[in-house]
Amino acid sequence: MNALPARDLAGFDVERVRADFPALSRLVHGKPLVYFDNANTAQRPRAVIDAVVEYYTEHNANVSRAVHTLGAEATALYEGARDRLARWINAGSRDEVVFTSGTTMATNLVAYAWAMPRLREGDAIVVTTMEHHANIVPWQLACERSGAKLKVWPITPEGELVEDALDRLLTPEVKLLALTHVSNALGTVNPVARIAAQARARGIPVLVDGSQALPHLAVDVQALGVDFYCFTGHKMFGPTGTGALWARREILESMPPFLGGGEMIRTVRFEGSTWADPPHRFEAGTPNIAGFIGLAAAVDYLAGLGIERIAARERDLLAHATARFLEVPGLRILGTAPGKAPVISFLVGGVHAHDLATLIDAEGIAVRSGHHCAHPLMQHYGVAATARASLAFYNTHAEIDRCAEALERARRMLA
Amino acid sequence: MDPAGLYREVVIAHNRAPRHFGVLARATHAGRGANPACGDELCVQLHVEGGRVVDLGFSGEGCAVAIAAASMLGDALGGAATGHVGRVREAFARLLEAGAPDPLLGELAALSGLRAHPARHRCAWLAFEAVEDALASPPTGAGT
Repeated sequence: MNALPARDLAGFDVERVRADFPALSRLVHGKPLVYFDNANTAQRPRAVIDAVVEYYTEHNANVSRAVHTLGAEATALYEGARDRLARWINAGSRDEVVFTSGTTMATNLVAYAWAMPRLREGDAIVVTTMEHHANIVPWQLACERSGAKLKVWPITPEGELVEDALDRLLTPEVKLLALTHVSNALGTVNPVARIAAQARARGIPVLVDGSQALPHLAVDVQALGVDFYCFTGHKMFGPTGTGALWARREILESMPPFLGGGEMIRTVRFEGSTWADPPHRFEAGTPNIAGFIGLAAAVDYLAGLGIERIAARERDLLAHATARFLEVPGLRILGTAPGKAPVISFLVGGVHAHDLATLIDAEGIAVRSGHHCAHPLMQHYGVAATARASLAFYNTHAEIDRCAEALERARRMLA
Repeated sequence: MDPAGLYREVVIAHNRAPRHFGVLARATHAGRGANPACGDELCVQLHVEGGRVVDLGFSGEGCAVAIAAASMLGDALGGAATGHVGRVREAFARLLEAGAPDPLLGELAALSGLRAHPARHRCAWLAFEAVEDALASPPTGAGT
């Protein structure tokens, strides 16, 4: 048997896939880049970069306004991206996909245009301990304005939601349950369909932060049974400044505009204006046209690889990385939920995460260090910061080995 | 693997066995410095007498750069007039900008490797921030 098979068990030609990502071939401090910061932002395949360049070189015009040829081409590409994304998440209709600048914009849109008009003093919103700040702070703002309260769904030491706590939390004053699909800091994959069914039985709407799910899982928003699904494009190999809010049509239709301006109106009179239907009602101003065209190319790229094959490869990478990292004396992993995404948050006894990250960067290895925009989660574990290696399908066993060895050298140097 | 000379022996030694760490029995001032980017936080107690820092004690959590900088800053300030802090700060800023070491800095000059790591400058400033916060705060009254 060859030591390095060209294709692994998932049928993945890794070298060919890696060649699709220009950034993966660069050197950092004279060493081949090992990019383990994918949960922060992923690298883009050539197909995405080409789609963006092609829009700017061939079709550059504004959308939904101009009648000329370029305007029609740009509009077709931009709205075609909406069709592509709607199919990818199995939205009931393309009109249920509102383009946003990312998850943060999507959660804020729901907070301002859906939650704030509804919340009353004494109401509550439930969030979980493992949320990213983008799925905490908008609800705090909504609570501050309305007198509603935030309730927190606790997690186990392994980083899973305490499932039997939900019953106690979903009291009649709860007007929204907001949770992440996959934890950015722990990798935990939450059982969203089961949770949503419990909430729905009590008439409580569910909002899901899917930022870390789309890069790893097949997401079917209808099968999940949720009310809002927010995600970002740059973590799923698309351009930065792209993302979306999916919500069922009747919910979007019930929401007033959030930002006012061009694109989102039907008629404008000084006596009063009327609004476009969703999704355009929520897309004021010229959008990130090139970005969404690139995002559609990213979806095509993921579809070409096959999300099941991606998941199988990532399971293998996670198992190898977990085993190799644990060989480093004093290394502790936060988040050990079964079936988690390929995210490893870790601490090395006696060595601060920033020092680890700086030292292994000198060997060309990129990991994140810090609180991962999840202060409450860090407080839950009683740590100020962790280092985080987040993997993608283009990473390799050899890269993981290099990282584990570099971590051990850093530990020996500082611990 | 030391990137651009950031983790020099003297820096590692200060991190392993930091000086001036602990809680003072008698303190006149207390302050803190926090780095929201990483959650690190250093607290400092000062014992100021006759306009001089007669003793100081750090506590808290930080990376090797933050801890070493606090330890070295403690050395640079021990026995000095309170106004000396500002001069050390300026000298340290010049070190980070231009790599120019100043005798005022003492072993803090060993942190010149930070020049190649702008994202880590904040780690070193944490201790300065805590000391300046302490001096700007009303005296705690435990001293004289």
